[in-house]
Amino acid sequence: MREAIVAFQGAHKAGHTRLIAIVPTIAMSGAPQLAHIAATAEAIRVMVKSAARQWGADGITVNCIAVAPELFGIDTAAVGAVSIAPPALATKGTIADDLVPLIRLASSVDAHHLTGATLTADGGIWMAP
Amino acid sequence: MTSFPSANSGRLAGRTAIVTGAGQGVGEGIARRLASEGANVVIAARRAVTGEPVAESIQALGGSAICVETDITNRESVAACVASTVQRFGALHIMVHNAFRGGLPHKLEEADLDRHWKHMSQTGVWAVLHTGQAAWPHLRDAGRHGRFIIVTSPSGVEGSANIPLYSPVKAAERAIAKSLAREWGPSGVTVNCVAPVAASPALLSAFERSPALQAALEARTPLGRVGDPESDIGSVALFFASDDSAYVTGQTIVCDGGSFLGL
Repeated sequence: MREAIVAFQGAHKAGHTRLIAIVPTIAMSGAPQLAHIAATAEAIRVMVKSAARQWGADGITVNCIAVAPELFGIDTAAVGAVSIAPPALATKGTIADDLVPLIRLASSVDAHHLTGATLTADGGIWMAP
Repeated sequence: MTSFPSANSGRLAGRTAIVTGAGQGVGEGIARRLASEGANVVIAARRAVTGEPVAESIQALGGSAICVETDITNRESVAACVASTVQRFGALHIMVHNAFRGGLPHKLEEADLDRHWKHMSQTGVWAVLHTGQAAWPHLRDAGRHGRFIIVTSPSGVEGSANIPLYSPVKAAERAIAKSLAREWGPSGVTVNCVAPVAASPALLSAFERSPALQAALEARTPLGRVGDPESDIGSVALFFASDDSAYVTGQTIVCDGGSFLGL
């Protein structure tokens, strides 16, 4: 978490105007045996909201992308089911095909009014709220 | 002898609860509400000078309470508090982590890792781990009566422009609650969060400095007032502590008069 704070401060100091954090969806779902990772991820996700609120007046947008835990190398069997429903999409997500396009979107001018948001790209597992 | 102001039907008779940061404010309100329903309450306060009067006033109303001076940032101190509790009352059914220090306004780009993040995370995130780990064997023994309740904040859901690093601390607490809810669920133990906006000493002090703040806060609150630590917030904690919430776990009740309507 300390590294995340330093990274945000560094990006702000460098004058970047599109800040994006990427976290596993266990930030929102929690995970047995992985409370430390879930806590860190959720702390980063909410720091995004704080930064978006504080830096918005300077034209800086700050957003979060939440992806399936396996993209972080987290053992999904350990995480367990986070929904009573199966994943909406049959395919597994990949960094190149699913994460990178969302980074491109959040970085683009098209997203100039998008800030403090969490874009969840996990194949339709976590749908709350 | 006078009686507790809140309704008392003995819902927690025979149960024992520790409430951290119960020397004042929300923690005191929760402790009083749990005691009013018959719980033995341990006032875990950083300084006995604040905790003892709370315990004595509960005793004066016919309740069961003791004060145990506890530094929640110190794992051994928390473990000693739990050991004292079990020695005195024979069991621990309910752990309420409420204590918190920090939350001063700051700019994120200028935040000091030690002064802001470390300071707040010690009484927030780390103290949740200390209290949870120390309480766990006893909560497990309490089975379906075992309760871990964490006092977090609406800011931990929404983020904050004024105190940006306070929000992640409170968010981390919620993620731990969800994780432990799933981890401890098979034992029957529930883990939930209360996110209050309440008339704590810190908020009342802020109102004194800025009456406009109070007016603004009340204006944006559908119920038009700030919560009372005992009757409003304590009653929500009581729900989580009682058998009424036996099938509720991993949840957060935002108890703020309706300001946050995010779900």
